[in-house]
Amino acid sequence: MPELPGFNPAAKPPINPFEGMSPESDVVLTSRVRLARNHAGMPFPGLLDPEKAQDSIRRAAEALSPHGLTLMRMDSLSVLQRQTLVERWLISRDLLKSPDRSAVLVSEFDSWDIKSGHGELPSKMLSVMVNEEDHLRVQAFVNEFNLDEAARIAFEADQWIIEKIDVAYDEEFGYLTACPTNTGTGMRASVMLHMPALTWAGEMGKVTQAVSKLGLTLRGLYGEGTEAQGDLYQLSNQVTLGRTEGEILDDMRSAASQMMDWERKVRVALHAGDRIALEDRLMRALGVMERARKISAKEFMQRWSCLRLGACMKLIPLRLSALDRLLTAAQPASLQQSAGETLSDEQRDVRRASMIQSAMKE
Amino acid sequence: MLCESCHQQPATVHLTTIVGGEKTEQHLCAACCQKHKQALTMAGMSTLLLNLLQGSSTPTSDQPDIRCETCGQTFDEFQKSGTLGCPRCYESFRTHLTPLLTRIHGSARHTGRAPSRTEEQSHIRRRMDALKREMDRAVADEDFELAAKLRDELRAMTPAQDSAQDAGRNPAPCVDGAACSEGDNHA
Repeated sequence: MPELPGFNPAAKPPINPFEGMSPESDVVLTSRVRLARNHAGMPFPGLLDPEKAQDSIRRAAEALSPHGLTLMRMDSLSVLQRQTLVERWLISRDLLKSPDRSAVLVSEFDSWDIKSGHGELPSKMLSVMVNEEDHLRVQAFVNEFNLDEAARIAFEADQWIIEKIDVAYDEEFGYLTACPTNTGTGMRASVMLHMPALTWAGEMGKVTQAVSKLGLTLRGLYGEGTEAQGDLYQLSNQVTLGRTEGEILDDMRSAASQMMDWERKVRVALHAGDRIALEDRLMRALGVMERARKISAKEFMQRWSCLRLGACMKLIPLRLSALDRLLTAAQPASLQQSAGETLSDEQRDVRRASMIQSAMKE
Repeated sequence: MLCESCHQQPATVHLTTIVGGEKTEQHLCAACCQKHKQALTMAGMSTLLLNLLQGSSTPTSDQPDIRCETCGQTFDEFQKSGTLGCPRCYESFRTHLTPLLTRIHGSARHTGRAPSRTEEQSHIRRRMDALKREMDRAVADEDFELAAKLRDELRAMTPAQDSAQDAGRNPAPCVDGAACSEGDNHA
């Protein structure tokens, strides 16, 4: 790519933005496989009385604790700790609707202290939500485009559950779930995609149409009904019945690969079409992130998206691994938890700016 | 053609949405499309389900609302909330759920994994089933001596199963039909 006179983005020592990352990490942040399972002979969580809800938690802990998972009851955590778990995708917002009767079991992390929020999460994680919409929601995450590995982790946990729990299953309908949209395999596979070029080019309508024809759907950053902040989208399967887990994973893999290609082509087209406009947008974001004294959560997400695209295009000398860590660390609860105190909106924005700037210097 | 939303600008964008095999088309101007796009992109599954439920096979007004005998939830309540009360609701509402599941997923027949336990547990389960069949046959043949012997053998195996159930564990669920043809111990 020829440089413009007077502008040399590579003036700093060259760094490899993809260091420690997979080849697909220019578009894919994480792969996740979630399984919905329920106790046979027990009302779904929406109709559970407090005693049965505790029984559901007890049984989940009995099945999963021997395999190294740690139980955390939602009512034993502070509001900030709960919100941090949402920001790290370990639990959903829905799990917090009845904190006195819900819990999560998580694989033990040597590198991240759940209570204090200090440290970094590992590249592979397992969490099992108890009494969300279903009694058990197994979630396996991998920080790369690797649905097979996420599925392997999820089905290993599924086997631990089956060994100890009589799971609601029907020969015709498969795994029975509270909502019929999950019935069958109970499996929701998803890939988190960063698609700034498609978003800015106004192509997301076409993308949504294309994926819906394949029985897939696009959602926002934190799942159903949430906004696509930071141009981040979760591609997931909508169909859970009538297709095997393997077929669903194949469909997902193929659709995610096509979206990656699509996004990459539009990135090139945007740059070729109006290079100055694109670089101006990315560099303005760099300027704000490097210099601003206050950055709101919303502005952070917009600027972060520019920095990540800039890093992928080697216009901005930052590592994707550092930017992806920043994505969760700069969220409101994670920010306050690392500060060790509750902060006002203004204090949070100031702390966010200084934290971003420290991270960018690393 | 004018935009379906504002009825002022010409429709330049033609959106096709397919939900549960049903196709709907929208014709919008660029400005309205932009507004609709975000909503369309982020449409939650619950919204889609509730839309499907409104057109689903439901008991007619002259028919009494059906109720799940296990949890007490009615089909009408399910249509309003989008969630079922308990696993037995699938049995109670099977006739109405089958077309709904077909509309959501394009099929109402599961083809994926089934829960299966370890070989050791499956072996115990198969052995118990075989003993029970032998015992029933012995009773039918009036060979009470053999039936008593088989009963004692079954009893000797039962405590392990009981304690398994106490811990929330039931014998192997029906995977291939062979292990649980008797139909007992199933939820």
